[in-house]
Amino acid sequence: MNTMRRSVWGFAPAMAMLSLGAWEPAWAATLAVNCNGNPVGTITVNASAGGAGGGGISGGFTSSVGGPPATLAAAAAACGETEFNWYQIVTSANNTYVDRQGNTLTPPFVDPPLNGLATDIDPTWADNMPWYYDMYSPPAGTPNFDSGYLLSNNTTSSTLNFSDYPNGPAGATVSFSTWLVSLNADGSFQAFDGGFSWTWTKGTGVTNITTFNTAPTNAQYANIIGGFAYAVPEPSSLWLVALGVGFVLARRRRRVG
Amino acid sequence: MLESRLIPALYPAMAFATVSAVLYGCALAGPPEASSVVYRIRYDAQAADPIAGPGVAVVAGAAPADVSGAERLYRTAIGSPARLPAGYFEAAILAAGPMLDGPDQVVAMPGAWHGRRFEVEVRHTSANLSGKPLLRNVPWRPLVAIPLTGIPAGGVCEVVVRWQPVESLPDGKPLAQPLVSTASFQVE
Repeated sequence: MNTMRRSVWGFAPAMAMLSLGAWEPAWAATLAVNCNGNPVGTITVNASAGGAGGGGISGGFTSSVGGPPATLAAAAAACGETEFNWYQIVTSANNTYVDRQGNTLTPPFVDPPLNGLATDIDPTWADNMPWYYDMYSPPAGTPNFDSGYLLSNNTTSSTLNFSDYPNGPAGATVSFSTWLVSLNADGSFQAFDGGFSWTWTKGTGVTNITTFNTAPTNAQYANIIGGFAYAVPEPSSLWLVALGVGFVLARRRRRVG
Repeated sequence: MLESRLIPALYPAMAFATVSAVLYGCALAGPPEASSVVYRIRYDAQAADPIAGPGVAVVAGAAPADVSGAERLYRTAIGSPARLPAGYFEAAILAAGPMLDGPDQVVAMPGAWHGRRFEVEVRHTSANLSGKPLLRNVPWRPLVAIPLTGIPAGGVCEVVVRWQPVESLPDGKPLAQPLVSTASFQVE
């Protein structure tokens, strides 16, 4: 059973925009996020025409409490938590995706997958937690680390940003569901705060943005995060893991010798 | 959001390159054109005035060492042809390329003068043209700073920058026709 203790009010799943005298469809969604009965902020996402693949989605969660000015920290405190991130899954796709370990992924699966996609698809490093933005940096010198995906580089004092511009071969289409998620100080899960689903199509961009106020089902969360870590590793823990790996390798080498 | 980094070292020929840069924790190494620098300008849909590209400008003096300075200088210079004083030997090309995907990489090849025209090819991978199925992905636009030396004296000069998408760097098969940007400048 996944925790969903916020009340979320969604509206405007789709809007029409007047542009250059012609009606052009544009997709946007807004959700008011309440915590313990009080409003703490708003999720707003919009379809964006940018990117090489024909478009994507951008927006974020903006706090409405604290200050003024409002701060994310105040929203987190109002909810009895430490920080926010996103939890995103692929719900359907007409492409084959392979994770860094070589496993073929079948929807629903977590985006990004554990440590990222196979390097011949996308070598960009991802951490080992199930949240959208990386919670920590890899050791210095780790290849293909893009610090632009660090959580800390996607927050301002009052906003947690969200952006994604998927890409793929001609005809590719992928559907996603994305939740705002509350985390404890060690990055472990605390609660889901509502979210939105959306579809990206090569050359068309993002359509069908709809909001929801339900937590993911077990098939969308509990059943698919088995390989992920549940807390940010502390430096001392990383050293212990490195020592353990070194010990095992040394023993194996001695046996071979 | 802006991000700066030099082109990743991908092959032994880069070993002699001496440039390096660190921003946002990205450690990178230098390209064959040893002192060319690639700045990553992360696409931000909320940005009021994103750099449009491709485009090229020539600026007097050395290119700024930081991405913000380079971006500001490019915006200022893109619409106004440079005028270099007589005997002025230090200038730089600032070239904005096509929108790329997160894992794409860029390398500026050595350029050369052909009379009063300087030609340089900038090669890049293209997840988009290769049909790579990307999920978490934020596009970016490359802004390349290339030192311009050996400038002919007195008169109008031209700079031609070709953005060539390739399967792999530096010598992979071309994926499409290059995008070409030109700019002229006056040497007094």
